[in-house]
Amino acid sequence: MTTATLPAPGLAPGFGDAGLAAWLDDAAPDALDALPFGAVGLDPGCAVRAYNAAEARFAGLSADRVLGRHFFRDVAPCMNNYLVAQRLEDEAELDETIPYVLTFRMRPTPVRLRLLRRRGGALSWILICQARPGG
Amino acid sequence: MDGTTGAAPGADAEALLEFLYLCPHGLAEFDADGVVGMMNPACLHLLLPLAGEDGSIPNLLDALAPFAPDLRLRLAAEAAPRGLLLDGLRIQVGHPPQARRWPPGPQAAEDPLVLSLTVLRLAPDRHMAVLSDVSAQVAQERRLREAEAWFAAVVQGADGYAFFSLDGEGCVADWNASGERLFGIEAAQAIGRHAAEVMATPEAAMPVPGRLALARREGWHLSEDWMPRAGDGRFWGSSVISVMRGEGPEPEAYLVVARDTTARRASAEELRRALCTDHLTGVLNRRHFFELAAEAVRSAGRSGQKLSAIMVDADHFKRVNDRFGHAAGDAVLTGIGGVLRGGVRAHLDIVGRLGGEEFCLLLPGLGLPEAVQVAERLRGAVEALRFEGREDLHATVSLGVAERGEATTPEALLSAADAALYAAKAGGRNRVGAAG
Repeated sequence: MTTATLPAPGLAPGFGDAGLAAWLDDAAPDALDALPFGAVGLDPGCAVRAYNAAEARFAGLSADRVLGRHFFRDVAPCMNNYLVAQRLEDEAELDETIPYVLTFRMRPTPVRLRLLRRRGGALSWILICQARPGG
Repeated sequence: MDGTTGAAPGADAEALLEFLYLCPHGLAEFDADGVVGMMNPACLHLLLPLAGEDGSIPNLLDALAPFAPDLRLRLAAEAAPRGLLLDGLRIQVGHPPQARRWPPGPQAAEDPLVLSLTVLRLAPDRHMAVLSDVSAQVAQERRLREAEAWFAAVVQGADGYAFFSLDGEGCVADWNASGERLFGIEAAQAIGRHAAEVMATPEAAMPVPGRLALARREGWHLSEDWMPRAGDGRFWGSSVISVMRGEGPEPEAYLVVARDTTARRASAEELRRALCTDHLTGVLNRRHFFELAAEAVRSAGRSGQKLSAIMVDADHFKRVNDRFGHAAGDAVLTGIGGVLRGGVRAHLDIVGRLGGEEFCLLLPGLGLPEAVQVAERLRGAVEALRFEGREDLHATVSLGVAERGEATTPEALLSAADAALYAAKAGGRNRVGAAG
């Protein structure tokens, strides 16, 4: 599913692009904020290290409130389950996109989640793409 | 689905969102058909075992229908335009695929999933559902009920045991069939009375208030004593009083387990007797006689009290055996044993069979003249013995009496009595010889 190649420098990558994890690890906060989909970066302890503007908009939470906190316990308990948290915990290398439902602002919202974990990568990434953007 | 891409929310709205995101109980809004409007993460999490492959719960009542088939009807039957429709309805989900209960709790592996559902109608077409996972609580309740049933079965069925509790003052707080059987009184007579009246006799070695005080200090107290039984008096039993504490320093209650140990005491008594007495004649056996004799001689040496010994030997015993048979010989020995036991002071004098047809008595406190009188009385009693079915059988004994004097061992004293016995035999038998 990740057949597209990375865009030229200066252009934002797409949700399904291959090599996205490496791009995300190196991206400046501004570049993450320019993405049209949500991006959450977690360190090995599941603390939030990156939280981009799109995700803040979807969830209604500002990055300031979220950064540094345990993502599955203190921010998004809705992903603390076998579909998301367990996979990121169990697998050393992961690139999987799953259909999912999130409760953004208490509204059950169908999304696609892309779970990225790269061997040697600094962060694990959860990317969130609304199936019906703008609802 | 508007609201998902709106302007950055104000701090209040953000705090409210966070509040709902992190609420550990499931919250959902649904319409009259069950279609979900709003739902917090915990609700989605709780319902995930019931969700489709994509984790979606478009309709709450549909999702719960397999486990609560009448839920939709019950809600529809409620005509009230608003109000609490369900309060803590338990929905047995059972065992969802193990992986779906993640992260696994301590009980997740064995406890079936049970959800508690509360439904509030906000408007005819608008409901709030509150969902909680009560699996652990339900499992705990079940275990408690099982333990109670098990305990009740043990308590009611145990024969020879009683289980009951006392309040903080030591008065009986509850009473059951086990107590009725053991103490012979019913609940109405027992409850409210102090344990001292119910489980102890007036002669108790340790009165109940003292036992309660020790239990308070040590946590429990064990005692073996006579206990009262309505009807037939008393029984020998052991009881444990243990303390149940609450928040405060004083006990809230005491638990008592009492047990009738009469049978055990009787068998211990039986064993003791078998080890110490001569089976045929009922007097002490040789080993135990010498144990007690040594103690009697030592004791007399310390106190300066008098002590005399009477050595007794059946006359012509070999002739009795030869002429009448061994059964007759045994009857003679049994008869002599009975005379000796019956002719001395119980619990004071010591009577033993030293072997064959030879017996010995130790008489603490008696000097030679008194002991000779005893010996003479015993001699006459043996001579007067009659044996049932053997009119021609007669028995006599010769006796030798000695006082302790300088003797410091039972052997020395018995040796003196033996010499006197020899003299009695030599003098023609059926008589008493005295040492010195």
